[in-house]
Amino acid sequence: MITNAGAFLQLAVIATAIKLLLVPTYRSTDFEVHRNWLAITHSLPISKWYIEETSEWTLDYPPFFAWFEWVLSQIARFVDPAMLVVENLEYASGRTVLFQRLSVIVMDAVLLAAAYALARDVSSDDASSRPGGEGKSKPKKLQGLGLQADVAADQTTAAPATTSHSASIGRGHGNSSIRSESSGSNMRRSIVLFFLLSCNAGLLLVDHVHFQYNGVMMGLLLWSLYAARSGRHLLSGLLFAALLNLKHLFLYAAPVYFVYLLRHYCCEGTVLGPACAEAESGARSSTGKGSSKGSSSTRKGFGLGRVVVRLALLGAGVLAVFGVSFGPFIMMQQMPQVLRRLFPFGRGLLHAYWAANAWAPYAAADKLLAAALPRVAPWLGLDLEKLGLRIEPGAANMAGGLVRVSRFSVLPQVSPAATALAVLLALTPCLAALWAGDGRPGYMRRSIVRSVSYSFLSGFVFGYHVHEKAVLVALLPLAVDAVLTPSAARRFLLLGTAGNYGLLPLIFRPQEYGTKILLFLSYFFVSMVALGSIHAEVQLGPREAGVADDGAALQALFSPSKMQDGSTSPVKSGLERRTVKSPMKGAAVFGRMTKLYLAGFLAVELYVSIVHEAVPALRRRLPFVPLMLTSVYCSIGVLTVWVDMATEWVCEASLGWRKRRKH
Amino acid sequence: MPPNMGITRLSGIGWNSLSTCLSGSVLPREPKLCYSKEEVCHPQVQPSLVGFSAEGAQPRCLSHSLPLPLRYTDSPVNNSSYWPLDYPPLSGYQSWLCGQAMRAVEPASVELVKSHGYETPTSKIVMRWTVITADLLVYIPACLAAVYVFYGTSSSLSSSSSSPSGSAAAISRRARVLALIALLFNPAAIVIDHGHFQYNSISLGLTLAAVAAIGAGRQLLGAALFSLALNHKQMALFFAPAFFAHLLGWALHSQRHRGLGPKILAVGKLGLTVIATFAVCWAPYLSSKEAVLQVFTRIFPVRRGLYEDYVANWWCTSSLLIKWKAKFPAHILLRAAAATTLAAGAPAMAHQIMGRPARPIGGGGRGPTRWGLLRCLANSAFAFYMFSYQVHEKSILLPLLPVTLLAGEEPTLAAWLPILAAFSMFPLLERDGVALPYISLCALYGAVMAGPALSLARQLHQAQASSKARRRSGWLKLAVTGLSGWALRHWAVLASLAVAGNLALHAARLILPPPERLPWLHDRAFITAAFGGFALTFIYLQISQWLEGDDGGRGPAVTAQRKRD
Repeated sequence: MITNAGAFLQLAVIATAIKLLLVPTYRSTDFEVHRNWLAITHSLPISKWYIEETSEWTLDYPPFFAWFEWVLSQIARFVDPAMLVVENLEYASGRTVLFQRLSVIVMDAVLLAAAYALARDVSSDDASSRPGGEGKSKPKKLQGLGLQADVAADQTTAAPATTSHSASIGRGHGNSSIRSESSGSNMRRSIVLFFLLSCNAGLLLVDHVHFQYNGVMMGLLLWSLYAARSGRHLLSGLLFAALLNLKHLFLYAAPVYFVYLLRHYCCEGTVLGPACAEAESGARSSTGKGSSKGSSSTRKGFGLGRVVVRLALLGAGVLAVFGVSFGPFIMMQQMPQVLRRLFPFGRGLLHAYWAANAWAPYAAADKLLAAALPRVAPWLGLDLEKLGLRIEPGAANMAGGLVRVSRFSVLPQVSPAATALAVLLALTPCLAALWAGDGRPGYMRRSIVRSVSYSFLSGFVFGYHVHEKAVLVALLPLAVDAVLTPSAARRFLLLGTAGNYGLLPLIFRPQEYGTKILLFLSYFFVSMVALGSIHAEVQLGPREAGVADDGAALQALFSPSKMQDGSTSPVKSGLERRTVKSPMKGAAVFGRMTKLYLAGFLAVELYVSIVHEAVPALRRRLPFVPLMLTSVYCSIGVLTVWVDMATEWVCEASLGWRKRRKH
Repeated sequence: MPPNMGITRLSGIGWNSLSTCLSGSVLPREPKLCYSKEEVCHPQVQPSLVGFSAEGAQPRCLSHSLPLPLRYTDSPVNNSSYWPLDYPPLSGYQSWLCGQAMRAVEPASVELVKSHGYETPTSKIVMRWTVITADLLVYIPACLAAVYVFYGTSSSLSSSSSSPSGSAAAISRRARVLALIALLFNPAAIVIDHGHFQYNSISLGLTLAAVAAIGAGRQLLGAALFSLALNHKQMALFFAPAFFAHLLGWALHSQRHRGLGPKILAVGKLGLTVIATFAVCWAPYLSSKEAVLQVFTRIFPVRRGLYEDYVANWWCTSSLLIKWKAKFPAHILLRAAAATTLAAGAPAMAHQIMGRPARPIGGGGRGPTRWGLLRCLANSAFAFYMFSYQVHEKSILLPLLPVTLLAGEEPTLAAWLPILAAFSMFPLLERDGVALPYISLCALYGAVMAGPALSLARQLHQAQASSKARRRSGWLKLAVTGLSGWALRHWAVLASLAVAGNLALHAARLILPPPERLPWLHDRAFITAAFGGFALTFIYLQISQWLEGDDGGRGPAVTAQRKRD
């Protein structure tokens, strides 16, 4: 495997430098929230952690996060003891700010390390083991273009993987010699992935401006995904269990992890297990990190005992994690109190600022109806009172203002149970497909990231009282697939744009306006160009794309004439010329509608930050419009991605089950 | 694989796309909008040490509220003890524009007298944005133009034709990207303009545009642009000898000027251009002799002294041993400064004015080439920084400008000199409360530059070692090449030593309180360390000026100097 620590280090330093620049920017109340938690965990006994309520920002994360704050407070003691006093509300001395900001920056090392591990892991993926349907449709086309590397990789996998040993040799062979030509592109792929994960604009804004510790948790999630991809299932499960005890937002992926671990760890290689068990273990041993039970295929049929052992192992591990976390509170009989803190269902379906999910258009429709019905009803001869609708005059003020329960005035109310049902329904095809598998080797390696990302996205789209920041949890794992397949890249860019744009209203001071816009735009452009260059290369073949790619943008700008005669490669197809010509070749991954939608963000931004501000009448009479417009417009993109992924899962599930029935 | 392939990788994945460079270069400028400067804006307390925020605001009030001729005259409302307008007219006009913007947003911020020390979040944002706008309108376009002129075409790299064309193309691409990055990400320039608050980018941008114009063969346009730069900030005077020498040399030796007539005509044209540009800028003040004199006394405040605070130049550093200010009267010092400055700048000027000699001295040629102009600019600015009268810490930005544009020729020098410059200004930056951005910007610059600069330097060194040009090398060139080769081999050790030295000084400043009798000990240590680096660079640049070929080709590959702390 090619290593190039220099480029990763460079990116890591750049990311950290940008984070340092953000230290003196705006801090939301979350800063005080975390300071308060530092104080609580440091100065109170465990029994008081979930009872203390001097501040309104009570501890409402699971116990591991409280312990995390406790660890931080051990260092904070030496920096400024005053920040650890519970009564010191709103305390923010210079040293406190610096300490808390630096703690986020330093803890981001987890994210950077996980991103590095995943990036290295991705570079060992060959074309055939990429996720999605591409594997079936692409190879012919690629062969036509003379893509030797992919042909070789195809042969490796097309040959029935008889034993794990030979499979591993085949793959190893492919890795070392034949694929040397495409190693450069693999390197580029992993650097792009590292960039996408470590410099995400939304994460920078939420963690380093708004102030939260998402970087650590995203890092753990990525570690768990990395472990799953490299076949260390138990580790992956335990990491995820730990993650759940850091922040329960990750609960949405629990069903996926459950099915994945049950099916592909516990039942692997048995009569109960998936059809592709041999290849699965082959993949594990080829990465050299598999468990010692690599030769599972030879023991097929004898595995029931092993199922029990693994189930017990996994169960014990997960129970131990939860025991360490919640045990003390169970002993102290505080569980009801803790759970009440963790799941405050009294808060209402929507956050003060609507997250860009399915409920945003729903609430917007409700608001429009509430405004329109009283005027339209007399015309239609309807009596609203008779229909059971009582529209209060203040109904137009739902977006903006403090956290509070909002009631819909016209449309039916949505209960927590309904949202939970919706999420589970949305997850069903994904779980079914995971259970069925597709009979080809390396299924989990290809699918785990996509399924986890899909489950978070479903949670975001249909969940109860979702915060706009939750979209990041769905977005980051998607980056892994985005560097592997064009369709995932398209999804990633769309979701990234819509999701990150939806985060911008969080940072509302004029001082940070330029910062947030520049961060957003530069992340968008860099990821678009980078992903575009990767996938342009897949279409062209590495050599041609290499010509097209070497600093194409600057080259095209500075010496267009030289570009033309420089590309004297044998294959001078129209495809190549198209990609060479356009400096924004990244845009090529989008369809026309998507481009139109992305351009629409410009219009939204113009309205929100210029037109609305400049016209006093608008500001007075429609104060909620900017936020509503933002979340509804962003929700279009998010929902598009969700529908896209959901359809894919439905197709995969039906395919998988049909295949199973045949067997 | 060496750990410095980053830039190729990055360029491969599209990092060098223009949009990225631009948005990336604006990005570090941006967050500093939020720096609070309250603690540094009390002019009465520490007149020489305050931040420039108030100083920037006052000229704006003046330009905004007073009729043109009154702006530079002392009066009850325009008191020279409260940050008077002491920049040349173009700055005044620009302040007037900014004042209009401020008035549109917040009228109270530009009222005379009342607005002294005025500072609200809005006024701060608008003022910060005016600097960013100046960057976007003047500096960044000028950078693009200059990089295009100096690195854009492959013909300028013809001297490395002996190497395979593929590698030459790779070198030129890398040099281009490196120069652009060095110009845009220069930490010292960013932190001064956007942290400390000044409008250097306009004057520097105009100078850069002048260099680009001259490099592209439009000498008259270049002269006019440089006159504008001079009229925006008198600090551009640092470059004046170089422009003068280069343009004179061009007028005398250009292929097109055969015979005495055309030569005199060219000189006359240049002179007329400069005079006309000045006349336009000074038009409102030309009504009377007094008005002009008034502006002059404001612009050149000779009474301020030999140097301010702590500057890493010759006078300030050596004052540790010889107390210049106490031993000699001001007028003697003024003359001494003028004489030494002229002496230090003379060799580079001579190089530009003199024609092609029969026998090259150091191995290179002479005469006014565009690369020669760049080196001459660096030398002239360094001469002023080192020896002239009344130098600020911030004046180091001027020598940095040509050095960063030289990044494709002197990659390693361009990689560390801006960081050392920022380091030399650290006492000032710390007072301004921008220590954190200083760290961040230096790390950013180091991360982006170090690896690619080193690999480019190695490529250049190899290309030069193998080229046929070697046969005309003089002893000086051989010595420099040998020394730079040695430095490149031990780059890792030398660089980490330098960085460790830097960090040690920072740590000492942070941890150890200075002894009571020597409260300035840390500041001294900083400028002395920086002076060492600057002096070595200056010497190297003087030598390299004479090694500069007149074939428009590459100069010596790399520098032998390192940061020495």
